[in-house]
Amino acid sequence: MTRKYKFFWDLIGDVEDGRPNLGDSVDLETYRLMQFTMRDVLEERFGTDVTDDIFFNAGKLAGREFFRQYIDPVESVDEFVSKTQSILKNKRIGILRLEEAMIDKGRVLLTIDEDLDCSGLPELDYETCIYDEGFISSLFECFTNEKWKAEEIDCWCTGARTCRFLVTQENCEAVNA
Amino acid sequence: MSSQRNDNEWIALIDTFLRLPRIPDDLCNDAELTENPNFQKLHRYINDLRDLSAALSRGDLQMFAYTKGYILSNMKALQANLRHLTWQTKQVAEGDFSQRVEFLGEFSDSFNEMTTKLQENNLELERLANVDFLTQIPNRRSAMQFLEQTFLLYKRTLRVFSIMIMDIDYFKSVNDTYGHDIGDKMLKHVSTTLRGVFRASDMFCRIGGEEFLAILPETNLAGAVCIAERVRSIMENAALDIGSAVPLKQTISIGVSNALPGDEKYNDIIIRSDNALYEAKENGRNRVYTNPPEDVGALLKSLSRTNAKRRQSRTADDSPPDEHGGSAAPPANIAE
Repeated sequence: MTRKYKFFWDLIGDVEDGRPNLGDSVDLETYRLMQFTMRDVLEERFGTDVTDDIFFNAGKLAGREFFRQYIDPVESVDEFVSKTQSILKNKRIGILRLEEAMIDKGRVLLTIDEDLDCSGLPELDYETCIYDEGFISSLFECFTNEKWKAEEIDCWCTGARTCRFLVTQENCEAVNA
Repeated sequence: MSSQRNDNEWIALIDTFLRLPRIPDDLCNDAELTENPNFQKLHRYINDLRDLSAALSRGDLQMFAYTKGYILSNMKALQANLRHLTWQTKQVAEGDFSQRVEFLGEFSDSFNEMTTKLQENNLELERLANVDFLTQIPNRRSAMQFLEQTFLLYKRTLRVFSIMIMDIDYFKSVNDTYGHDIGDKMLKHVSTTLRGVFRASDMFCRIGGEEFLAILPETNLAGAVCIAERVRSIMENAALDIGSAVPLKQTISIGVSNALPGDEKYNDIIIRSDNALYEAKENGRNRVYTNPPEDVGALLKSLSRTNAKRRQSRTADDSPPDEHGGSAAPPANIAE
């Protein structure tokens, strides 16, 4: 397939040059408007499962590029965690907190407070941060060069006040034991 | 819900549910309750609330409640925060003092104040562990760490370095004649006088008693001899005012050695320098000896001639003097 929209970081453009008056931030409502309307149309065209899959994989791609751009290089788990915490907060994506960080055993439990995608959403009876799941999976994959999967186990949309993710390394003996 | 119970009975039942830790046995088989999905959902929710609140009240942070809902979620958020706090505390215990708490009100301030103070104390302890209390220059521990790193770098890259061990001559007689207070002043005097001789990248430290060590990266034996001779000469002329008519002058003897390809551990260089120092003492003190043995006088003359030639050939060059007072570019035979 000939690609027209393949992502590369320069596509984001020179924001400083392009928006001298409005700057590099945008209203959160607008971000959610774009994301949720896109999700609506995708679901209508391709169904819920495919839409979820697209969101998860878009999150993965974003996580990979984000890691390269802002987190890499990192030498230790501590540096990875503190750098990720710091950049997510500075970019106002969310407040990352770790509950367990057994990276060597293939299991991490973390929360994202004030999450960009879901904090403040109405209660919907389903977890909504599928894009985040992909994004977080990718961060761990890039850091460890192993396959990881993040699963949201609590979400604002299901009544939680914080998004909670269980991130596990796939095919990790320690996890499967 | 088609209820066989009246309102009062339902109130009593809910009251029972809220009070007791578990559903009573006689209600487990109650068809009206077991067959009512709404009641079962509420029952699961209350049970999870009950279990999670009980776990939290005894400090157990391991219980996971999978039921959704506002009240339970608030408790789960508290649990998540406490678990994060536990993780942060472990990080602090391992020396990561960057941890700060932002989500637990007054406790956050106390925790953050604690980590700040721990960090300050830790830095001070680290400084104290590496500094000689009397002279406030690096101590033996610090010197050995530096030497080990420098030696490892040498083994990997063959970047030359030398060391010199300096010992105050007849120091015992200073203590015996003038007392230990003057002895201590003499040690401070030597460290203060010599501190400025070395480059910022060198390590000058007191390794015990009246003995000092200098580690000189990027300096070969000839270069080290040049510095040692300068040190010897400075000390020969430096006087310590002890309140008497005649200021106290004390010379030092110096043993110099450099890293050699056959060295297996940094201690090999120390032993050679120690042997050179012994020779310096044996041969009259107030002098510089090397090991491997070299004619120090000839070495200095040769170095002086080379430097003079370099100066002549560089008359148009305005290079500023380096920290040793020589030219900014090292003499040809200092950096091999």
